Amino acid sequence: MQYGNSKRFAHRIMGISKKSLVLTAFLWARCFLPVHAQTPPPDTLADPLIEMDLESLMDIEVYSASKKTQRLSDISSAVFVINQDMIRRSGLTELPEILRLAPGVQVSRINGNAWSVSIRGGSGRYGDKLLVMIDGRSIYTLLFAGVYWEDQDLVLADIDRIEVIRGPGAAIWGANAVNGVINIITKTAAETQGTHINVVAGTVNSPLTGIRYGGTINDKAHYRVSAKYRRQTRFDRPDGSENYDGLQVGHGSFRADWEPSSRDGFSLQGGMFDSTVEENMVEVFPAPPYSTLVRKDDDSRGWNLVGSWSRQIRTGNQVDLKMYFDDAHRDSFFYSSDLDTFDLALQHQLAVGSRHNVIYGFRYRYVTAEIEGKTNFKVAHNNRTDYLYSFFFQDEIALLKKELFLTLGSKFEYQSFTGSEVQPTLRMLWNVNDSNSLWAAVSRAVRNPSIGEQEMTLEGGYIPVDGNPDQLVGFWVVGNPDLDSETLVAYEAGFRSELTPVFSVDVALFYNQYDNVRGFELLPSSPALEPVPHLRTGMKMANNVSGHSYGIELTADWKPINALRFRADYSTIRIETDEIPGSADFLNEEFAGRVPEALYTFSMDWTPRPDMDLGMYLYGASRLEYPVEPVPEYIRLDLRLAWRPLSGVELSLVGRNLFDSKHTEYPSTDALLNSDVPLSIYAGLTLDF
Amino acid sequence: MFSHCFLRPVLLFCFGLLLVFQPDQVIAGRQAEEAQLKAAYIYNFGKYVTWPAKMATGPVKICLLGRQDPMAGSLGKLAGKTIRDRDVTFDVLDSVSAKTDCEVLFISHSRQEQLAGVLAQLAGHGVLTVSDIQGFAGRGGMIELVKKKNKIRFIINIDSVRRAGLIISSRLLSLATVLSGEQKP
Repeated sequence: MQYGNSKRFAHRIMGISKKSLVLTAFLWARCFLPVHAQTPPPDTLADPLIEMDLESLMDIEVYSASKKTQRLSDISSAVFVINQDMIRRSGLTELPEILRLAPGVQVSRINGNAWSVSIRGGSGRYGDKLLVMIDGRSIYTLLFAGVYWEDQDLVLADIDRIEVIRGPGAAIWGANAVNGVINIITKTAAETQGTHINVVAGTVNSPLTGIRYGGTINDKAHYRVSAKYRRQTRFDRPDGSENYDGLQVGHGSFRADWEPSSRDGFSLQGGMFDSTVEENMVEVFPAPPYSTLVRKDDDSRGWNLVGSWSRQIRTGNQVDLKMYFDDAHRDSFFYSSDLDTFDLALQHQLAVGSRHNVIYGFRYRYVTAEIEGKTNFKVAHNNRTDYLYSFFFQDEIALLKKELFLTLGSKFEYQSFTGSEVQPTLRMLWNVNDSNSLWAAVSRAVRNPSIGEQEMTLEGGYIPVDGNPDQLVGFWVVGNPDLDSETLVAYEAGFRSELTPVFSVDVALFYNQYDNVRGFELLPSSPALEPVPHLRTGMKMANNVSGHSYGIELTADWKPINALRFRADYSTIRIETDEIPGSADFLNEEFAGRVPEALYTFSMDWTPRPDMDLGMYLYGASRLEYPVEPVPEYIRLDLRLAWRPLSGVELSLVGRNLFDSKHTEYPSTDALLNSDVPLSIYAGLTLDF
Repeated sequence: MFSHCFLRPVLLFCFGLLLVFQPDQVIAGRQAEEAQLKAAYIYNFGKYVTWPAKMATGPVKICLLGRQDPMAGSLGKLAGKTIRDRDVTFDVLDSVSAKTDCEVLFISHSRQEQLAGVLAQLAGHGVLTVSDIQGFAGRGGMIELVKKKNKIRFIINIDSVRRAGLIISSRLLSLATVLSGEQKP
């Protein structure tokens, strides 16, 4: 949204080549089979539990009749849960980096303070096809329907888990849950008692401090207060010069939980942040030098307050009410914005008879936006209000008890952006036996246009014809107030298997058909007088793109002994844009962003002694095709060694990107100049008392 | 071509898999039946408790106070295991007295009403009392099992433990919520 697409335009004209997709499923099959044959038959469940140590037991969940805590193997979608133990063992310090721990999440560090996070395509700093929430509060900005990842921070020890759903979650979550849902869930105050101090210092992150204090009001009410400060040094551009991409973020939050009875739970939480984000901007002029690169800081700040009440009427029958207010400001070179969001959601889940598990809910959201365009950027309205009403209903029907489940559901939404939207889903789950299950789903999801897409007008640049400054061609990028929602129909299927009690595999396949995706059409050339006489051309946003993507995601988890766990993930995706009648299709090829065709991870978590952890994480991405500036394949290796000399004291040493002194993960797009991700070493101290 | 770049980790992974690890008995899933999980906790508690000298030899007797408790089956499966080289036995009791010689006593939910009397009978006898009765630790019991967010956590009343002459290792304490004294339930 900040700088136009003229550079991308130029890139595209120079042409690109496509690469063929390479599947390695056969390799995987070959490497899993011998293991399967060697492992003894599954033992009963009770005995392995008894052999586990207390720390491992504390990680085990109790089976629950409640839908909200289903067994992973009973869910008919591609879900992965990053738990606190994985976060701690990874030694990662930034939220978007932690998302690398989930299979199929395409994370690229564009530079020191900007990330691209996507699932099944839709990449870029302004990637717009994910719904991201912290404790049910949506954190993507309506300005461009994406997330400013650099602003999002938490004391990482406060996170209970991050649920990552690949594929549409729109039938329950609603608009923007197109390619996936990331749901960050923090611990309750009762689970975060005592003082926690985390200090990290190293070559890149210096310093980082997280502090939390959790206290008890009485045995039914607890609270915690957390604060974190993080400073990120500047990275170098691929040519070795210093980029302007440093970052400082301060974050504070509190949470109070009160459980007056075993049926009721109340929670009140709030947070605030303030960040200074170094940015490169291009300012353009209708006179020489026509454009200059400007180094400018974005100032971003905000606060939020979230209240919730849940009542368990009986087992499997629960009502949840959640209300939040979120205020976000951002002052950048191109705009200053103030978005206030009020959101109210009610959800009821109940078992009907012995075969139906029903969940339904309502949501109301009201957003006021004040946006002021600056520099080369203008908005059509400085003030606007948007609202949304929605209702969803889902019924999980046990066609055969514990064996065959059919889930029918839909979200019905009415909002100020595009009117009404219906987002249904149909899912089947077949538990072939205790250790194998198959699932398949068809769903429709939509992405509403963002405020920016409806409101913006950007002077993209001026070019003198034949070098004559009196004969200018001006290139403009304009939004479209009539933009409609983008639609996705997703076909998914998956397979989960515990081949042996210590070895499990998860496979998901998808085919996504996108229509009505926002692209660009060429503006007809016309003489214009503002700001100086010129021939005005450019592009206008329109719902003129369709395309499809397909791919496979594989995960294997092997825990040969309690103290040792291996995991390997592989995902591959191919995105293809349909031919668009007319001449403007070259503007639109990147409808789904650009992601590496293949991603793989391999990790090892080893506890050689009870007081030591050793972790090894390999993350690799295939070559990222991008005109002019393709990103070569890369493999990063992170190692972490931790030692707990005393209870409550942990010392750790982390090396990140150890394979190379530096590598590029994402190309520069427009004025968002990329950096190489450097090798970094840092030491951490964690105290819990 | 980029194919070679994921060949390397795949081969590495295959190599890792082929290293012969004797698969320990572990569950791969992260979920279990509540009673089985609680029994596993109780078995583990036994490893971190030092009983007074008179109870430090012979089998470790794990008892369940109360009939028809969902824990009966899973606690029964502990019989035949060992805790620090002592055999584990299991017994179901209908009542307790000053002569009760169980090392570990799990008090069933059904005995909630009689809890004060039961704890009084056992006072000072070196029996590790465990229960999932709500407020158990606050009412003078030693280890209370609580379900928090679908996981099992435990509260230790350190004063009750000390009064009974038991010693609990700091490792166990570090994982517990520790109470001292009697608190209002």
